[in-house]
Amino acid sequence: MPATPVLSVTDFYKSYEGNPAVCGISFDVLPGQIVGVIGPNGAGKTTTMRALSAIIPFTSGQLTVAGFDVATAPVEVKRRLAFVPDDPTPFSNLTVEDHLAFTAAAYQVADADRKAHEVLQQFSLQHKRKTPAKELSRGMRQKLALSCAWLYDPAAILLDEPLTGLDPLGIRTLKQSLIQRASEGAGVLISSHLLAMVEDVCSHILMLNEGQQKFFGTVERLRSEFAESRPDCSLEQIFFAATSGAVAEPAAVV
Amino acid sequence: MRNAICVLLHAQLKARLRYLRSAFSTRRRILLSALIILLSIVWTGQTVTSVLLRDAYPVDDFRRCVGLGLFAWTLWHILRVAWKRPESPVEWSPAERDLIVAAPFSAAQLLAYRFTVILTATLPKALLTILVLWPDLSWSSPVGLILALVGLELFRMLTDAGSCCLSRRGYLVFRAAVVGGIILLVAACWPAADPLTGVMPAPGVEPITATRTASEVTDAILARPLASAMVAPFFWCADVVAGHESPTWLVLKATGMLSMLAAFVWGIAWLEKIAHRVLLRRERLLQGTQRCDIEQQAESLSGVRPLPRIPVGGPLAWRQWGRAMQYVGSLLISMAIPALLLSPVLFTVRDPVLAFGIVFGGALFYSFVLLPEALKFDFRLDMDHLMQLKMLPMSAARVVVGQLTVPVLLACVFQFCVLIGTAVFRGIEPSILMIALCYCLPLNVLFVALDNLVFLLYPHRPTQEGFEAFLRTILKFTGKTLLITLSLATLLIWAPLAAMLARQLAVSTGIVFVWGTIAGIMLLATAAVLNVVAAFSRFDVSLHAA
Repeated sequence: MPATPVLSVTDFYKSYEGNPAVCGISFDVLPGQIVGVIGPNGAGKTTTMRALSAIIPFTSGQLTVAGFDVATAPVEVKRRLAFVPDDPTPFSNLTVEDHLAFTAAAYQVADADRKAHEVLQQFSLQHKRKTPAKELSRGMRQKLALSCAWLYDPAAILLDEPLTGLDPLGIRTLKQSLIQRASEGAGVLISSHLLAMVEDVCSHILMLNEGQQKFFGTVERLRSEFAESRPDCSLEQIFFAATSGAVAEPAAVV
Repeated sequence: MRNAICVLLHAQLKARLRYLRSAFSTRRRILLSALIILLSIVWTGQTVTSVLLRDAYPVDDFRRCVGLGLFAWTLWHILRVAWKRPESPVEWSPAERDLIVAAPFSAAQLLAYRFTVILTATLPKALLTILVLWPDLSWSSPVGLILALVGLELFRMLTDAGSCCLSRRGYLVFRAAVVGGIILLVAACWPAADPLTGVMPAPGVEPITATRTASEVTDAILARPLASAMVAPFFWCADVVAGHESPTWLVLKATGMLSMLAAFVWGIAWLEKIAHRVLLRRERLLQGTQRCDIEQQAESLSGVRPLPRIPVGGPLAWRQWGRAMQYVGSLLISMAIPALLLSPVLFTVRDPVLAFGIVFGGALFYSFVLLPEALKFDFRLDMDHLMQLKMLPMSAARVVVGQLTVPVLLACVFQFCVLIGTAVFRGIEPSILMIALCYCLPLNVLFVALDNLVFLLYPHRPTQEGFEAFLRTILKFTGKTLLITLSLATLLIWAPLAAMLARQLAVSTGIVFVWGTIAGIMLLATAAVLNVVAAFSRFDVSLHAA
């Protein structure tokens, strides 16, 4: 019996004041899968993630998270989902510790004390516990957002450009932690322009271009579909092939 | 390098004009923009006409007002610095810090830039003041006004820079000196301003109200040696603004003002240098202690303290409460000033119930028109956090309740304090007080919900400045004035209806009127909150907050 998708998107459309941003995309993310969303700027990656998180209204389609319909049960969806935006803006007056306390209260986390201690340790934020968010650097804000997301063990994880601002140790921690969460049954959707990271971590790829779905499937299938003649080519070359129509030569190192 | 500053100032001006053009020509704002422009024309025309057609004030009164106004403004700057010390001697916006402070400009060039910005911001203010005071002005007034307003801004910079030069102990001494000075000033002037002398009716006459004129009270205060010595420099400036002397004296006094500005500029530059040294020393001293704190935090094994259990949007209310407590000083000022302004009624109006009614009406008027601007601990300060609020696993209704709770509670606290104080002072019957208190909660819910509804429908940043913000304020206050008029008209219609209903029900008219009004307000408040919930649900962060 096939597993129930953690994230399911069917024929999703979204337009802003008449201008289409996403046109009829469909995909499923099963428990344990890590799906990389790639595409040029304005492809509709962030819009798709925001709609899945029940943050923005959408034009048409059906979106579900852990079996709950985004349109009809947004609160249940949010309870089971973590969305970390590309530039998190934590509440500037709250400290790191306050954010965790707030998240624990909002998501009704049991055993918040222990989990908070764990995530603070995991993302090396212990020494910043009493620091107000407005004094945190870009990378620290990112770590804080991730810590808050990890606190309530979400079934679905949506990360928009998660590596921006993170230090090498933070990047490694995040990658390991994502793989671990997926192995524990979470469904993960990562949008990123860092194709090497996508190649490293993701089991599946969703490729978008100008709001259209260009591809959805495993990395191997992507390779066979777009680079039949060049089985050794990188994801970067495939990306250019899919978005501009030709497999690009690797960039020369000067 | 100097050229770069000029290019930047020119580019900033062009950018503002471009922004203004785009803000007005947006399709969804075009109708509102047209309405705002129409209102601004009407209001400006009305102001200009009323200014040009009015009689000039007596020169002595005008001079006194200007002198005391400048004194009050200066005192405010001292109080502000004594209450909260700025973090750096010169105030820079984040964009300025990134672009200008980071650029290879000398300290003198940076200060020159700051002075240019101050001058360009002060000139329109001075022009507006000249327009409003037109009938009272003489040939020397424009010069006097510009010099006085620039002087105030420079004084502000001087106090900021000066406070940064003080050590922690020195700053505490300064604060104590300011508080002591104010107490001394009030103690010295109080007998002359004793309000109770104003309510003594003339022999054989029993008026409901009896007051002294403001001029009489001011003259009595200024006759005190301490008060007259303190305001003397400000009356020097006031003489130039009012044209109160012979031309030679006016030129001399204007030159004196100019010299004072030059002294301020020199003082700011000097203090800024010292402040940088002091701040550097303070940073080095702090470094050691902070390192210890950081180590302690890292070693600590405890997790997070749980939040107090508050139902329905509790975590959000807790967050807003924490934010409000960070601005407790400003909050107290925003509540103490209207309370003080209402206090003369307690002394001048002889009928206690009438006095209570005036205070009640005044408090409600202030709570509707101005207080919401000081109590933005709701959606209005969360423009950058709307996405996070939408992400929370709560229904829109819970989020709205959580967001609106704190401003409503704070407004209630203000009104309760004012009303209970008035009732105790003037011996009001508890039943009247209770009725007044019953009005407060639904009215505050209505007021706060309306402000939030407007924000969610037409979102903007609270820190936004400039022409667009000015026009938006005009529209908002016009809307509020219309609503007050409409409410009063509704009450006028409701009063006879309540009397008729009371006759039919064989109960007191007062009961029907009061409870009918409260029920009506509750209905409106509920409708306003539901509309906020709908507006928040429909709010598209991709369109507005991104």
